Amino acid sequence: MNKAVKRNLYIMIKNYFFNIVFLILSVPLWGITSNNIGGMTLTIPIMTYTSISIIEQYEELYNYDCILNSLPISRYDIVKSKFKSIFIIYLINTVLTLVTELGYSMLGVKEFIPANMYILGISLSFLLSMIYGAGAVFIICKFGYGKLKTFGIILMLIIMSTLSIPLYILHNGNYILQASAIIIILGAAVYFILQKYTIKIYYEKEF
Amino acid sequence: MENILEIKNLSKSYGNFKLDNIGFNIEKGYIMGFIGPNGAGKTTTIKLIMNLIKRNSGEIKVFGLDNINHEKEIKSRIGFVYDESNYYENLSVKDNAKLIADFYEKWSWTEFDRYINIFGLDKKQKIKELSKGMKTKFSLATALSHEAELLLMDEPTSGLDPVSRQEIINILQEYIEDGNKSVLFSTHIISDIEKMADYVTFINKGKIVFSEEKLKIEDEYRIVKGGLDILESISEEDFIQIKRNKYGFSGLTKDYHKFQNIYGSNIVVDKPNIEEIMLYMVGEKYE
Repeated sequence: MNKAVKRNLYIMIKNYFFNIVFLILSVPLWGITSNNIGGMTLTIPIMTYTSISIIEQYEELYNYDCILNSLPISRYDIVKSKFKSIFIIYLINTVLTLVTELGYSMLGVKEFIPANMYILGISLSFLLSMIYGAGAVFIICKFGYGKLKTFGIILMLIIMSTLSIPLYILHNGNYILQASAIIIILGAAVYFILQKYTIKIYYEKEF
Repeated sequence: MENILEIKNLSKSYGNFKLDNIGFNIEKGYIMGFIGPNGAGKTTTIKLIMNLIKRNSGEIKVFGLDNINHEKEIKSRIGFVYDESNYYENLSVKDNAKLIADFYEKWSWTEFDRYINIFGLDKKQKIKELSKGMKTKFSLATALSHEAELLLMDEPTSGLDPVSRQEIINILQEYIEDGNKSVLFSTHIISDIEKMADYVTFINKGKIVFSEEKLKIEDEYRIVKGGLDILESISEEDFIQIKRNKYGFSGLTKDYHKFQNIYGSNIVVDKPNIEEIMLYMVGEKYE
């Protein structure tokens, strides 16, 4: 399975330039418009979604699943590798975003944000990354790459219009850490449920 | 002799197409040509062997193992060459090979480099810059670089020039030299089969017409030609297929001795090649 993860990350790195540019530009821009973790919360899932959709787009474009399924790897491991890649990509994007955020704050481009708000941001971005990343893999597996664009747009509209609600409610509250833990559990649940159903669908696929 | 591939009562339905209860074996050390018109079921059979599609019924054993229950082990011992390029077009030959190499325990970069040199491929060249023939050669190089014991090739020579086809034929003959490896080679270019196959399996409309040693097939059948007067006195049931024209007839049969005894020098009996046998069997113009 790790060989398949390595392959996914290799494809991601080959196409990571767009994400780096997006990261460098988006963090200070979010800093100008707001001084909370909303920008970070959106930047990480967008980057995760972009990376996952590029990997999957490659698979679809070149019908690479045909090659992958002729290699000595089980269908179960192929799907597990896709989901493991989502998690690793999320981690990479989170580290890079935090480094960029802190870097800009140290340079005085934007103000420092309290640590507990960073934790809230990371947990929210985890939930959104899992919905976006794992959701993308599930949608492609079930309906094909064509439907992913519709899914991406609808989800983005929902998130953009509702993200401020938890941020507003929790901004001055005393329950940020507890709420963050619940959000992370929700993210993990989304991840494992979508993984389970994607494995089921992938087993029945014909190439 | 030990069978490297055994297919029994295999069936698969897709819309209007049905692969109907097919079966054949490949022995170790031989090349089997898998022939038939477009849409006859060649790719479907190969995909079923690779478990890329699900069978409705039947049994496929590779190296004596069930192809679904021992999928991973079997695939590590198979080299697969596709009829089309499914590689990442924007990546180089070397990068594409790297993505595949990691999956095989027995992958040899020395072997890969050897085949790349034989085929005249540039490792830095992107897949999209390669011609169809070069892509097939790259695919063959990857299939041959992990000590595969069975090569499954789906129409590898279609669209290739005669020189490239001959190169691939030479490589395959070298590949089976040690007597432990086999090749299943699907094609509709019969001349390639005539040059290299030891066995021929002919599939038409989802059914196996014959699966036998090439020399035996060529020995078994004859084309009998005669005039209109003879045509009136013969039974069509003695022929697999008869073609008529205004001067007489020609027909494919196994019972040619019978006609020779009755009609002597009034008929002509020719030994057909595989292509002619197939044309008569299909009963229509074969492309």
